[in-house]
Amino acid sequence: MTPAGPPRALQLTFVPDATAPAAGSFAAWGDGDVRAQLDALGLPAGETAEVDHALGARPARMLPLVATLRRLAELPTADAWHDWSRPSDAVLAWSLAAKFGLELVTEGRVLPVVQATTAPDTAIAHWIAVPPTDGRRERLADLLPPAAHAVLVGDRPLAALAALDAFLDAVADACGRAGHRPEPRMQRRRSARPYIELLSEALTGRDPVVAPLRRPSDDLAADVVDWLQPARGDLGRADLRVALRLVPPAVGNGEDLVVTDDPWRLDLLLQSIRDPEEVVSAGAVWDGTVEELGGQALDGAQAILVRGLVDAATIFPPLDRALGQRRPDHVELTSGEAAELLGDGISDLTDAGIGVLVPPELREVHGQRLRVRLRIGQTTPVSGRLDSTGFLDQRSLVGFVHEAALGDDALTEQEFADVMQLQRSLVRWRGQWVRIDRDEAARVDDMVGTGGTMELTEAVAAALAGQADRDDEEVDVVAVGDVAELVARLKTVPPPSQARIVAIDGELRDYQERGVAWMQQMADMGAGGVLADEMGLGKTIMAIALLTSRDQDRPHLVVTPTSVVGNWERELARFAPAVPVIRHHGPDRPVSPRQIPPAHVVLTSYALLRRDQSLLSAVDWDVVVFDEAQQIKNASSQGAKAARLLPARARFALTGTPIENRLGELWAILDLTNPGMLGPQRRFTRRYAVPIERWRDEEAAARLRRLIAPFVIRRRKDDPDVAVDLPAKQEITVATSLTREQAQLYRRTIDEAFESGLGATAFERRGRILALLTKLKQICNHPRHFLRDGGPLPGRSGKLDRATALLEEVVANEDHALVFTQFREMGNLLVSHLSDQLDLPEVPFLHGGTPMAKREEMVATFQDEPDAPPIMLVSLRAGGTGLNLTRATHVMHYDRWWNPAVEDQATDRVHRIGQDRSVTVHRLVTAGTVEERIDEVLERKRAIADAVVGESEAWITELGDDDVRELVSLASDAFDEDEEAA
Amino acid sequence: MTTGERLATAWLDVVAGGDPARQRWLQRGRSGAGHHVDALRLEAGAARLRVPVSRGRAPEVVVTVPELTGTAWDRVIEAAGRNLRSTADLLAGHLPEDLADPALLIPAGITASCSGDAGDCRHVAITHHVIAEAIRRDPFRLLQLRGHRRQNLLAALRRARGVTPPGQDEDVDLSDPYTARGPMDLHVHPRPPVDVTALLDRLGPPPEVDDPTPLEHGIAEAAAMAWRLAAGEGGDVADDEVLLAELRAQQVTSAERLADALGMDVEECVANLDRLYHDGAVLRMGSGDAARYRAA
Repeated sequence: MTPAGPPRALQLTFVPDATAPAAGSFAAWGDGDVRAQLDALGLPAGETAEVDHALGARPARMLPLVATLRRLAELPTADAWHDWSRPSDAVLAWSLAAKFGLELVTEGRVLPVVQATTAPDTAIAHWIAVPPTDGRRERLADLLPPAAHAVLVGDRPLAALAALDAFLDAVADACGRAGHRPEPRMQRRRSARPYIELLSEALTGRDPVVAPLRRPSDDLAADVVDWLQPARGDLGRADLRVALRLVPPAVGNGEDLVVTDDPWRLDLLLQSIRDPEEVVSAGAVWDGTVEELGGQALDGAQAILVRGLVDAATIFPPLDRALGQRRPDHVELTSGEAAELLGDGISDLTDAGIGVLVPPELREVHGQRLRVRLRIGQTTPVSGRLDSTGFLDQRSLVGFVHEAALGDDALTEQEFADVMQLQRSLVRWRGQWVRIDRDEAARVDDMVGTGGTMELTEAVAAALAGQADRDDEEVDVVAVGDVAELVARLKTVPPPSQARIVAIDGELRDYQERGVAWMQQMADMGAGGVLADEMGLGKTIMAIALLTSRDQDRPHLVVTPTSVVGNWERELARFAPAVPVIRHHGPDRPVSPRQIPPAHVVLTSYALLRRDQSLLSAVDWDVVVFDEAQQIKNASSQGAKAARLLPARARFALTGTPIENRLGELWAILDLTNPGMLGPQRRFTRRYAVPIERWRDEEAAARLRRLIAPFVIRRRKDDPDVAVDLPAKQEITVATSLTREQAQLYRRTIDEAFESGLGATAFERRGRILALLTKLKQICNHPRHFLRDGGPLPGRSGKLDRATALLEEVVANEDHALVFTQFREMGNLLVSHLSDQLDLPEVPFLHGGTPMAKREEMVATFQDEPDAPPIMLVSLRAGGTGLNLTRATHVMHYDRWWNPAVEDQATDRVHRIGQDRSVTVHRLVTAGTVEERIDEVLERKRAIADAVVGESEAWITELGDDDVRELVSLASDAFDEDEEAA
Repeated sequence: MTTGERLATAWLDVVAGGDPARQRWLQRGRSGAGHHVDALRLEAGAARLRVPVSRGRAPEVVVTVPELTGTAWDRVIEAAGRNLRSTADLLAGHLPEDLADPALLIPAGITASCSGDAGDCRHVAITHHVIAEAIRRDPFRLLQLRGHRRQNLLAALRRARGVTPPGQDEDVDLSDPYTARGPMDLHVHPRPPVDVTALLDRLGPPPEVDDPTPLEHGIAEAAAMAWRLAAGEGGDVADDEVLLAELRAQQVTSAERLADALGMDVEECVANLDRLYHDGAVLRMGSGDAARYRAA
């Protein structure tokens, strides 16, 4: 045994209880701060203790069972985590086990058992879980690493399967007791009450003791084991199982409807659980002619076959005919029996651990069966607001009727009557086997022709998903008439040539025109949408092109985070200089709807949207754009509520985070842009979010993809039709704003500097001006950088908050970023802030003081390790030479060296030979400050940068007092009133 | 005739041994034997019964039989494994018909003693009828008396077919203690509870239970709680479930202790407890910081 290294992340070990399963609990242990790690995963804190593990005794926290179970069952599936944030295998495996346990209990796969005690008239009762023999229990046991199960019981480490069984029993017992933690009270008692009452009380309450018994407890317990035997099997590890293969009779394909009375054949097989493709016929098992299956010896194959057949026969009675034979290898079925098998039979048998193999032509039989389908048709305007273009107006109603469907076809009355008369359960309809369930046929008969109305959005959603949720049951849907047309239009993505580009200065790229055309089409239909293109693809200019192309009979509203308002103003001035802009901001902002005329674009922040909700919701807007819409991902927040109240013809959300992977966020944003399309949140959570995120329900995921496809457009930089349009290196200047605290510090620092004078001698002057510049840069970076006050980091610096939001997007998109700063102090602040805010392991910081060996190791880790944090900080000086960091596709210059050559050299660490992806460079500039003004100078001089500005900032010291004052002074609107919005 | 009836008759026949005198003696113990079945204690090789008498201490009768071993036991296994139906019966909890052959299970050397009298008294006759009745009701009692339970028989059948006994502890390999063996893509999918008593229905009521309604109710409650914990009803419902479960686990407790165990904010915990108190799910004693809670 090689000694194991220390665990890298929090470990969970299940510690069973010998008396009652529900008294078991989890021990959480590992390196580092266990409590903080528990908190990060949302697990309960528990109490300190020690766990006797095969790896050694470890200090641990013991977690309460039910709370841990619920949180484990809630964790996303293993593939949904970032490499650097993924919990340990122990946590992920127990999460799967928790979901498995809850699945067993929801299915009623629990039974009561009675355990003997040393007192003959006293027993202990508890619940156990009964997993089906479908191989999942064994696979799950394989997934539990020793850290998860090898607690010492006596002196022996607990085996994986034993630990899993104990845990599943604990889930059953805890649910059976509604959370009561069992505490046996063994004292003698007298009771004349019937055994069933004592038993039932012991199973549901705190005290699991059943006493007095009329039979010796060991005798009773042995009988209970006997009773359980058919359900619990022999509890061994299953490698093989019985499987059944259905073979249909041969029929012609001549007519629409073909009926045959030839028997169906059910072959009896033995199947490998690990590799379901591997099967052997029962005949060969009886003969003993086959010795191996899927590389495994066929030990005990006959016994497994016998057991499986016996089990199968209790579930699917026609198999009883096989039991009368000595060496059965198949059973013949009537079409009725085959239909029963294809109905509920398959899932019943599969649940009981019996494989069912069905040829491809029969796989669709269930979906193609005779069933009720919703035919959704004509719209009926009820509010009078619906015009002839078929606006997606929530207030329109749509009629639907129930029709009988067989295969893909609706049946006419005559066809339905013909099918009903056949008295057959499986028929061939237009070349395809279809099932006719007699009970369902009767229900279909009742419902055919009846109908009703539903809201248009609900109808469109149902038509897009192909299914509707009617009384908690998914029903197939076909759309006709208006709704079919509307859906067809929604599904058509217009070509770039269809974009109407009006009053835009500059050229849009092809994919941008496609985006504009899509937004225009959606807006024309009265629908909204989410433009979720990756950062750097120009979402802002696409949105501006939408606004300028509209009939300007109403004003437009753009809502953004505070730190981005200025950016929008600049972009509007650059691309659409003719558009009148109202900055809804500061004390002079409009107070009445009359101050907001048509054709104007109003810019405001989420903070002001909340504050001025009554004014903003009193305006009839044409288009409302929500930028950085992940700000309102919480549907119950004040911001989201205020946003929902804005009356508009169309609403669009812009976001760069992959919202299709975060379903709570997706619902909140789409419910804003396309109200009602995803249904009420609770239903959405039940139908989509929980099954997809926790249980990887592929069917629900496919349905959701179909439903949202028309309303969400998301392109990435490496999409082929986007990449051809993009330069290899994209440079973006990101304007940020000051908080009130920063602005006050900034003003005071300038005032103090000029009051004491800039110095008389050139040497003194040079020193004082450079010191002033450094102070101002520190203030722009963060008040704490300047004050060194050790105060909090979030919410105090517009730049830091904006940088955090940008990097959050980078991380969410699984990209990597390098962040450059010239200040070691700021670098340290960024390390702790980013690790904290973005839930990353400690972000590495490469600076001048990093030894060469360490430097190489950091670079190699960042370049090659899958679970390394996706962000690295580099001090600008250190970053100058010898580094190859091509894994990053984003570069951020947090502060400026004011020397383009130095910055470009740093950028080239990433954008260099070997980099085949395009790189985005973000330069953060604080608006209205010295940073912005020097940036303007540099932009002008960039072409001749080296010659003019040289290696340092010395050129600034050559300027006269007034020029210096102009350069550093604070613009009047440089900070936002509202700091909470950033 | 059922398997049990055939074996019960065979038991009495062996005891009588074809001797008319013994048959008459045995006949005298017949009436009322059914009332004593619950008092019969069976163990491997012996059956014990205290026969109530009108006066004095009830005498104890002990009937001893040889345990089934060696070739006799092999013959039983051979008979039980002869066809699929027998195994099916065994698994379903019935003694297979093939084992109803008296030559297989009824012992040749039945001896009896009574603490009351010496010799073949009436108490012994009664006891034989009680044993026969027990066998009639559940033929596995005969197997048990001969030293085997149903599981022994099933295990023996498996061994006869060359299967290694299950449930052996695997050795724990600690060389790579933190890594799962295989991809974490197991398919799990809790669904809303329907027809939760199917398994119980299949097995029938557990031993000593006639009407399993309370157990069915218990299973339905467990399934409903599991569905809430799986968040099938929404995260807030699951949160409440956890809070109530922890409250039941701690019995009577303060909001601080609850919040501590669950890793919650104390204020949030108090707010939730107050809401549940108003809904009637939680009882509250005292107020403010001194408030104590308990599940209703």
